[in-house]
Amino acid sequence: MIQHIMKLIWRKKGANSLILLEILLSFVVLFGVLSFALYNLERVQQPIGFEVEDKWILHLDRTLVKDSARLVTLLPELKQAITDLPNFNQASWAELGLPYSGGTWNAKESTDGVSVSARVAIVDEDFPLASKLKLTEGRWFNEDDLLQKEIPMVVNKHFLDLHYPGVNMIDSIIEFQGDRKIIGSVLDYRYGGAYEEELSTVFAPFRAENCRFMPSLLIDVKPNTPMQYEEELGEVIKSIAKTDTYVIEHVNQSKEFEEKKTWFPLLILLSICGFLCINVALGLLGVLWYNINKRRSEIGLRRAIGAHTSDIAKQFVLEILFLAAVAVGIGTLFAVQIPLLQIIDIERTILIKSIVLAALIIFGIVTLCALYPSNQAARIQPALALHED
Amino acid sequence: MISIQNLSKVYRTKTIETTALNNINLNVPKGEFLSIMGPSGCGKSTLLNIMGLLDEPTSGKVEIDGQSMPNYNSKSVARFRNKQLGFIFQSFHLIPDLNILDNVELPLLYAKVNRKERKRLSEEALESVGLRNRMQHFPGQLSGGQKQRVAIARAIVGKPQIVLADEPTGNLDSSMGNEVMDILLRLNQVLETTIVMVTHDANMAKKTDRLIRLYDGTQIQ
Ligand SMILES: Nc1ncnc2c1ncn2[C@@H]1O[C@H](COP(=O)(O)OP(=O)(O)OP(=O)(O)O)[C@@H](O)[C@H]1O
Ligand SMILES: [Mg+2]
Repeated sequence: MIQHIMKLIWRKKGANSLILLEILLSFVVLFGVLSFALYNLERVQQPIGFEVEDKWILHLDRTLVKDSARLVTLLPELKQAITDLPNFNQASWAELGLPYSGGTWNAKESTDGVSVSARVAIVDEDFPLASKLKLTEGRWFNEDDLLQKEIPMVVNKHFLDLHYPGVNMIDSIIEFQGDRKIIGSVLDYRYGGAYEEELSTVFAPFRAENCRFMPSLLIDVKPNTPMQYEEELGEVIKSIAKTDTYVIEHVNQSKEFEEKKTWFPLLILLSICGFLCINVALGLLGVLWYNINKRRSEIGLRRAIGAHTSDIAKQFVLEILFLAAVAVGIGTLFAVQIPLLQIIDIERTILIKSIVLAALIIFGIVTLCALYPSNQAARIQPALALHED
Repeated sequence: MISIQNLSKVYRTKTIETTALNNINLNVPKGEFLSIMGPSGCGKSTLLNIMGLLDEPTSGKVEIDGQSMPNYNSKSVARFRNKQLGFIFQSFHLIPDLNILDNVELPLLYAKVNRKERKRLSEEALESVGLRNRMQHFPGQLSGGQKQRVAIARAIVGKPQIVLADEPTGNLDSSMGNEVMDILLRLNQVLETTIVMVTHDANMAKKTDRLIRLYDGTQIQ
């Protein structure tokens, strides 16, 4: 029967190749969008490494950075005053790498054939408490560390996996913007948010005297702290820093804003894909409908020579499923080139999942579209169909 | 072989009711070559379709080989048509996208005969209608008479007991018609196939064992 169907399809290769092309294109688009969606879905399920609820970030007047002598006394004083307020727990000054801060500083260095690269977060000794970052190995830096010859550094797991796979690097000294001692590691710190890929990241200690950018203060706030507390905070800032210029950022809002930048276009893409599928479905329905009407006498004849109604329905479903299988086959041939050529950096499992999912959706649509017209074809009265021409 | 009792067929549409057949009683013994004549619209095709289990009678009984067929859409009726009946139509009804060989082996495909055997039987059937050399052609490349001979090969490839032919020579000129008629006569004589043929051509009807005439759905002779 399959061979018979292949012959019928081959003889109508002109019309069938258009259907094939339509299915192939939808498969390729589906595959692309699905792998993008699955890639992000995978990302979003990974821990980001820090908490976003009840976290405020205080951004001060940037011109303050120019007076570095004043900064050295102002920053600790301000932090102390703020954490003394009843509704604020811990706080950490940070020059780079605060949650959703956008800006990154990537450092790269090659020594003795080892090339080390990472983005650098510059935060103070209270950062794990303020952000709820969890150490998996070693410890966080403290004030004593700053007196040592080697600058202490905490790294993330990806940094270790990338540069020193399988080696225990805690307490090792590496050359990375000077001599650095790795004293601890964290699982991850994806401060760009849940959609951000894993990046090699290190934490370096913040020192007011070395500031190049105006630091911001990450504050861990007690749950259910009302917005009015911003005013209280403002008064402290005014009395200590003598400025009215400040902004208070709520980390959970920044998270929503940042993540929307990824999921919103994704949602639009998925909707377009949905419309595409509906379009393909309607197109297929139309083509099948037309074909079946054109082949009424063939259907009548097949019934006369012994085809059961189910044979008729099966034939039409198989014809279109065969076309879909060829289209999906060709599409898969294209799709598997992507991991082979390493064009984009997406995991192989995601690509395979996308191929399978896209194929399932295509076969689902095609089967659904084929069932109704094929059943109608099976119901055609043979006596009537044979009588028509 | 075919026994028809008190058979009536009424077509009901929204506006009118047509009595296509009215109380037909007919017996076709095994091996008979029967022809049916009558003016256009008198119900000849309807009668043939009912004999061929393609259509249901409104009332009355059809028995083939002593068996009556209750449900016309059932698998067993489909199988019966496949094994015991062969159809030939005025307009040939060949499938244009299949070559001659594939057209002829179609009934065997539904009978689930294996490929080798299908080919052998189809070649044999094409041989008997003198078209073995045209196996790889497509229907569009054949003349009307040749097409009808292919249709005959298809009707007899499964060696059915009964062949039902609805104006098999209706679209053919007289020499081609005679060729087709000769094949049917030979089939009837050599294989003792029971044949019921609708025709408008009295000369063709004369060559058969028996002739009945229909008029307005009623048998008049
Ligand atoms: N499906 C149908 N619905 C309604 N009426 C029908 C249908 N099929 C046939 N008829 C009517 O039944 C009558 C008999 O038709 P039938 O086709 O059997 O005639 P016929 O003798 O074969 O004619 P012809 O010699 O032209 O082929 C006609 O009046 C026809 O209009
Ligand atoms: Mg007729």
